[in-house]
Amino acid sequence: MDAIALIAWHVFKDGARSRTLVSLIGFAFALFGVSLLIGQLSAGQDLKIIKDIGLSVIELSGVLMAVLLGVGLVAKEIEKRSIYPLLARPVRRADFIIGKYIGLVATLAINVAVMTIALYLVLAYIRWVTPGPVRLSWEAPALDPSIITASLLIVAELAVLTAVSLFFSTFSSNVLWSTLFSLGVYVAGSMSAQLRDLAAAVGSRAAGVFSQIVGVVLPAFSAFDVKGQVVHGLSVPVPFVLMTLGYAAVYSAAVLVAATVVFSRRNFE
Amino acid sequence: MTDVVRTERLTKDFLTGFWRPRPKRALDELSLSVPHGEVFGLLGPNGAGKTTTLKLLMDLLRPTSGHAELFGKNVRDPKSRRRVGFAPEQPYFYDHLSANELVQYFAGLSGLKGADRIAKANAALDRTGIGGDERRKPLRQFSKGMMQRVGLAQAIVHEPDLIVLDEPMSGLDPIGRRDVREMILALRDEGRTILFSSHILSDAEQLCSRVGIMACGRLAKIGPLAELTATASLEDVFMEAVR
Amino acid sequence: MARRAWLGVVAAVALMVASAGVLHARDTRTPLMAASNRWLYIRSPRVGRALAMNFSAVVADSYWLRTIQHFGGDRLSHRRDRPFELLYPLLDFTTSLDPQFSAAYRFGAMFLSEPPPGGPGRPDQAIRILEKGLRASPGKWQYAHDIGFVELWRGDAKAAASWFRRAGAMPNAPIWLGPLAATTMMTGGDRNAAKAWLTDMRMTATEEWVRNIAERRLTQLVALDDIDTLQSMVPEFQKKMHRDPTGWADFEAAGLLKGLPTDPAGAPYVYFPASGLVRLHPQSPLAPLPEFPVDPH
Repeated sequence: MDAIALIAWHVFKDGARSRTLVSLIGFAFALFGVSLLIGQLSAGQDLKIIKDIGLSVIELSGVLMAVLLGVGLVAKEIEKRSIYPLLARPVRRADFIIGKYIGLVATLAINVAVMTIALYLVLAYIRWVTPGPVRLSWEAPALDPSIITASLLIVAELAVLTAVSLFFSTFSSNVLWSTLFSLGVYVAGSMSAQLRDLAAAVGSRAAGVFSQIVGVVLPAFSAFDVKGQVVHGLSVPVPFVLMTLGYAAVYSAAVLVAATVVFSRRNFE
Repeated sequence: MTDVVRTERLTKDFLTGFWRPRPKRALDELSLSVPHGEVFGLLGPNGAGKTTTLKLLMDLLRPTSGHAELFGKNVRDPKSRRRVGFAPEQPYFYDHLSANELVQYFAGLSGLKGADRIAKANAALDRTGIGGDERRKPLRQFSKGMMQRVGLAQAIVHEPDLIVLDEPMSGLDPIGRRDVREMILALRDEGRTILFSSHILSDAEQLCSRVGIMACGRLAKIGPLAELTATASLEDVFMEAVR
Repeated sequence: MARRAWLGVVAAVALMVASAGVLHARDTRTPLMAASNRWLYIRSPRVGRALAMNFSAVVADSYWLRTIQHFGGDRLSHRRDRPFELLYPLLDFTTSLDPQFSAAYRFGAMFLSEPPPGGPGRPDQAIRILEKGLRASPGKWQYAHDIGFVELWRGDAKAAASWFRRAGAMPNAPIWLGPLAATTMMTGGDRNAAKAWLTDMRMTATEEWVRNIAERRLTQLVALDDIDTLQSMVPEFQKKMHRDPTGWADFEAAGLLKGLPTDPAGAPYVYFPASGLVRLHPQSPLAPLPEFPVDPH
């Protein structure tokens, strides 16, 4: 237990010192600039657009962090061989994986939280400069609390993606391939709903079975997307959120168990 | 007292070749034991299987067949490494951490806590000659020799009873090598057991009580240093064994 | 050690299946209200063209795909109201980015004029988009020909004939356009013209599902003709037998019919004695029959 906490803390510290901080500040400023530009272009849609773009940027940068850092957690350590003195400790291989996972998810959660705060600041600014009558036409308030719900689901999504990148880097110590696989899974998982519709449209039974299997194995990243709801002021019911979190937890657990199995049997040549 | 290290017909095959992987035998039925308090040198040319042996002991590799124990516990059990410190060859550590943070991190993973952890980390860094200013610098800025020292520091910080070193002198200048030699002797005097691999015979001559000479995955010769070099120099014995 | 590994694999698989179960439960118990991208970021085609720069054609393609998705999505959705409200803006945007995108004009017009519940039922928009196509390509007889059919669909045979004449006058127009104009003028043939148009669509469409729609419509037209024929038998029966018919058996006995009448899909037509109306069987695969605009003649 202590080992897991130590490893997690170490990952967290490492993440905090990497370039994420710079990118966070950069993101906040970029959002600010974009919001002003958008305000000039569109006709009264700026609030919706900023919320949509803002949440998308949070999600996308989170995805990149989850994959790049996640792969680095194991694959890079194996490639650079810094893993040897660590595993020579009286630490179980499973503890290593779980500790890395918790550390990275914590890092990502903090990053998402900070970026959400930055988004709220931008929205507060928009609200401040928008005259009252225009504000009345907004479908949802500027400082809508359901943005937090969207961010929470983004964190859940990133938790799943982290598990996936960790898994890929347990058996492939090639950093490049692990990164590509993980990004590929992200893209495929985001389209999982459409892939299933496509298979249904094809109509053959083989396609149907295939799409069922793919549907179970591929992480359904599209299931975490509530941007449409939030931006239009539609409610996201609590049971929905809880069950989505449940999905993330169970799926991540599955992937982590698999990663642990692979990692425990691994030879480090 | 049980042997600190014991292997029984330890064998390791690696699969080589992409299209039809064939097993290549890196270690062939290695049986040796290292009793308490000994300084044991595992010698041999490059590719003889020294590093493979050490990795098998550290559970970084899994044997194809055979058995290995540390302090009477199977090496598969993480608890077997509680009283063991390992310094790999040409180590690499995390760029962003300082030497201090790294050694404390590893000390924590070995079970040290709180003030004890900090104190022992400092002691280990003192012992391996890493000064107060340097130990706060990020490891990114360290030279190869300094990294080697950090590697040793993390291996001894938890005051292990067995210290395993893979080519501890590699990359060090003569001063560094002398420091390491002295440290190994001091550790021996503290009653610890040391197992190290090397292809530099002079180091073995100065440090070891027993040596094992490996070639092509096999233990060609093993015995107390004094006995082996009774009639010939270590170099001759070495050359003879690896032929 | 191998046994622990197997246990791990089994646990991983079980958890993965369980996760799919959780997701499925969520989607059936607490589904979200549909709120997909039902609006465009950029409504002005001018802005769009400026932003797309060199990539107008590619962007047009992607918008065309979105159009199809929007149309298909609304058709497949289980919602009661299927507004298709983005169809025209999307088509307008697509064709502004790529004014030569003939598929967008032609099939777009077809989507737009498709009557509810399968489409928005906006022949006026269909004509607008085709006229836009003609402005960009004044000699393209296909657009004029298509406008003609939409007018027919709307029930204005005179306008339809005039468009067919215009189409016939354009370069490289096929020779049957002239006679078609004449026939249209003469008979004001609602369904016949529709049949011709749908047959043409069925043969020229590149997308399979568009061909399938045309096929289905043609079959439905056959059913409508059948219903008219059957309906006309009711007064015949009344004249002959001096009473109201009570079912198909009556028609058969009176010698007006041989056997149970079925539609092209095999479902029997239904006769309602109370109202004297012949209708398609509600469970026929051809149901619902489209609500064609009433022929003003």
